[in-house]
Amino acid sequence: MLRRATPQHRSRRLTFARLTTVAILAITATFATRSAQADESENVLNLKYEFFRDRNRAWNHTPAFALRMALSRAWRLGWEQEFDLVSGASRRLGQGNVGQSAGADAVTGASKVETRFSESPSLTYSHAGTVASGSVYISRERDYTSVSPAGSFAFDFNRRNTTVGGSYAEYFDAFRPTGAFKGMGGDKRIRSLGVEGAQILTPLTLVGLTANWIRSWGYLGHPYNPPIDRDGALMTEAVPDRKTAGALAAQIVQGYHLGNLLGSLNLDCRAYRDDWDLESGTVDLKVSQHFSESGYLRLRTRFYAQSGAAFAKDVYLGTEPFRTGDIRLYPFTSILVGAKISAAFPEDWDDSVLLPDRWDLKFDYTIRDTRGDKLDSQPGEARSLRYQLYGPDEYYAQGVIMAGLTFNL
Amino acid sequence: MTRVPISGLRKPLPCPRAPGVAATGLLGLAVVLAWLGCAPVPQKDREFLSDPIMQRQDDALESGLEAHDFPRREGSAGGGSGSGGGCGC
Repeated sequence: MLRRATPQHRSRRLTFARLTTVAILAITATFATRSAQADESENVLNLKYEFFRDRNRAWNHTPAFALRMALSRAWRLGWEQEFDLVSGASRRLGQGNVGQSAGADAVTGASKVETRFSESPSLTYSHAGTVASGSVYISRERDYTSVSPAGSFAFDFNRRNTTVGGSYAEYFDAFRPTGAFKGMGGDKRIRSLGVEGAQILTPLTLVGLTANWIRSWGYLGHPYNPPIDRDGALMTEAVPDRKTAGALAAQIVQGYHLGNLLGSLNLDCRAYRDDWDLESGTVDLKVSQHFSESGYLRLRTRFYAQSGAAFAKDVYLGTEPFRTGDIRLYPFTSILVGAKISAAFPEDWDDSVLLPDRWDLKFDYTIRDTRGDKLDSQPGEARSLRYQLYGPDEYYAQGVIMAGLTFNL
Repeated sequence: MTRVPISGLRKPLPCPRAPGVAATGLLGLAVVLAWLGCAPVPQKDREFLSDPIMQRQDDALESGLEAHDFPRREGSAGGGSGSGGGCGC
């Protein structure tokens, strides 16, 4: 996010990338023999390439892969790797062209292009309807690191019609801003607990319920989003140092037949609330339809709305105990529409592991209600325009395209 | 960090979040009722449930990318898992 990498930093990154590659190859070689004992379809390599672009002409290139290898009939090794190349990372929603013409962001002095690396090795045990998994997620940016051990379990009963499970994750995050905001970060801990249940209702109906409890403490702010007072002067952000949140989600997957081809409706609704008084609701609907035995088309729409945090205001006096300019803590709505197509390559390609077995292509377009703030201004009061916002009648928009290949090894 | 109770601060700005919250409640209630009234589906009748389009979640890598990247791109605080793992900036 921040200033251009020094040669030492670049060298450190290259060393890490090399070590990661060597580790992947070593793991692959070590378990290749044993994995041959298991079903071939259990060994899968999934490649994705995601490209994001928004109305401000900020972009992300995100190549990623997931490797899953069977060690035996019960044990499975997984590795997910993501590289994130981001332009204008610190440029705010709604402020077009900031940072575009200069070498660094006009507000934070951050570099125009930032890289992030993350990986997540995992080990999974699965036998007779019982699944247990452990993983570690590691993410690094120049100004931010995160390490998260996590575990989950699930088991089936009721003649394998019912599944219940739980999950646990602990995040150890460190935010170390440099440049104009140096010294304003800190450490953050997040503890996440989840319980989940799923039930088969009919040969074409599946339902599920998920509940999550998330507690965060430490430095929870974001210094790159300083609030602005009514005169346009920047103030230091101040937010509470703890937060507790809960979310409840309900889902139904209903299949149907169009002629001989299977289709499905997948409705997922989620409600969220935290003790900063921020509430949100999500309705996510996917309609999928096979057009061949192995190919399908999926259409998706998602509606999201959230309130603001209790202390988020459009105009600050400067005497408030908490104040923020972080656009994520203000109310808005968004709508996503998208499509995905997925199909298998010809079967005679299966003879070689060098050729993919499936491909998929996805496009999502999102419009966010990020209109200019005038909600809190009183008659005669100067209006504080947060630099994240567009004008009163304009919207923020973004698009994501993702291409994928799947190899059955 | 200053420790000041959040209660008593100005109430949140209004927002049309009710549809999502209400839909979650209604769907959750329907799920529980259906759960209580269902009979087990035999293994031989479950072939369609293993189809990729009948899964509750997309493939793990796609879901993981969206879970991490979409909330920060959208600029939401309650839309994802609410967890850490990145700067979000």
